[in-house]
Amino acid sequence: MSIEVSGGGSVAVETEAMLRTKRDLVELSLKAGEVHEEVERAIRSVYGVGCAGPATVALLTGAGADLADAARDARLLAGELEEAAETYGLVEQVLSAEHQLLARLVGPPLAAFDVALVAAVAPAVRGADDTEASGLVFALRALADSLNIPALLTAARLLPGRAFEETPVTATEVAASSAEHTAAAPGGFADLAARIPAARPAEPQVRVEKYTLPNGDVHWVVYSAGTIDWAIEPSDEPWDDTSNVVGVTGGAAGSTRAAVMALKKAGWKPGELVLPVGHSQGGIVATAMVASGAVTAPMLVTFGSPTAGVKVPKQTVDVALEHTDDPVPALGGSARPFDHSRLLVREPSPTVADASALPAHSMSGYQQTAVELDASTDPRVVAARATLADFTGGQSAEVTLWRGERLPVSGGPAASRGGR
Amino acid sequence: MSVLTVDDEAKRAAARAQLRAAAADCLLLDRLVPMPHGWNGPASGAFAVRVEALRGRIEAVHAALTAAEQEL
Repeated sequence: MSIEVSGGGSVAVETEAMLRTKRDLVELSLKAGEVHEEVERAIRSVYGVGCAGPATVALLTGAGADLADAARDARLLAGELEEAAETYGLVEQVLSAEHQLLARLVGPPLAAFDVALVAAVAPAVRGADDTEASGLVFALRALADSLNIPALLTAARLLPGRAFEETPVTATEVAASSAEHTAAAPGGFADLAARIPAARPAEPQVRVEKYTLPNGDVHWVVYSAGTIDWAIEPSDEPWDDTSNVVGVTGGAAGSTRAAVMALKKAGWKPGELVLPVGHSQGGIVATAMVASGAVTAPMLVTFGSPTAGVKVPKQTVDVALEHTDDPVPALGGSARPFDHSRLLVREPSPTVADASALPAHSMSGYQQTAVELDASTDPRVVAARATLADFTGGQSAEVTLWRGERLPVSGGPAASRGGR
Repeated sequence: MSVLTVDDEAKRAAARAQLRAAAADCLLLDRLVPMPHGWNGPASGAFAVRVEALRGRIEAVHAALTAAEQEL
């Protein structure tokens, strides 16, 4: 199975399989050239012996010409393969932009037709990775594009009760075991995935790593968990549905504010670079930290997060891993068209032992996909891994764990509560 | 009627060895030709036809070199 990488540069889509094929063809072209020279030397030797008949000479002359042609053809095919990949990526971007425009102009019915068109075209172009589950994902993405979510959110808030009402939050350090106080620099995306706190009630949702580089610069990696409380009315857990909805609509979600508070309490000073990482809602937190300008980041990494529509600064490489059968990323709508800062890695979810209702969304599955990403030789992925290595400088990290809590709101809206 | 000297025999053996080595290298080239599994669409199907033509060309070279070696 080959991962699909898109965005992040002029070549929009170039799968591992295409890269391998292209490399083989380039190598074939070079080696065919060498064998051609070898055959030419052999022909001269045969002439030197002077005993070859006309048929043998014709055979060898034809073989030499065929090898020269083979070298040329392999070179041409490799070039065309790369060109086809670029064209395919452009077509995908144009379809995405046109789909977004349709959804906004004429609403869901025609946009759904467009989705059907994309769903019909994509498997033929892309191969066999689009399944019925991917059809559902397409439909959800279209729905997310078509709905006016801020308006729906406003309407929901008019209902009785405190659904999606933000609250003030706090962040408190949680004692880590002695083994957790330091950590080696992450070696790649799989290490980043493994360090995201598990989404469990009453446990830390944020892990902060501080890297002091030899030149004195201080860099930070912040990991954020996924949703813990699925109730629509907020309790004391900021990693809840209120944060999901407020975060997706661009507001200051409780979880994001708690994560920034944890970072500040860990010693971060404005101006020091941060690399946020998160799964699901944790990805909303990671993206919001950068998009809001709260931190400056050379890169952010999300796993299965509905953040496709969130605009991040151009200087931030937005690495997004999405399983093609995971419906959660689709809830963020379509990706921003012609956005080269987003490095989208798509892959069907691996088979993992996971009892959750949405195994395609599970962190264990994304960890497995991250292992595959670490083995990728796609130049954009290699560059992203290099960015991570430069960011930590290979230094050991000081690790702290943090738990955010919502604070009770008495009476009307609290002055310090987050935005919507 | 031609008469071959010992020196000619050595040259012929060397030429045959060269042809055998080149034929062996063709087998390595053949392994580098992509296998067009799942290239089913119109564009990728056309690409697969050209890749198969490339494979055929290399296999023809291998056959020619093998035949030439045997005739020497």
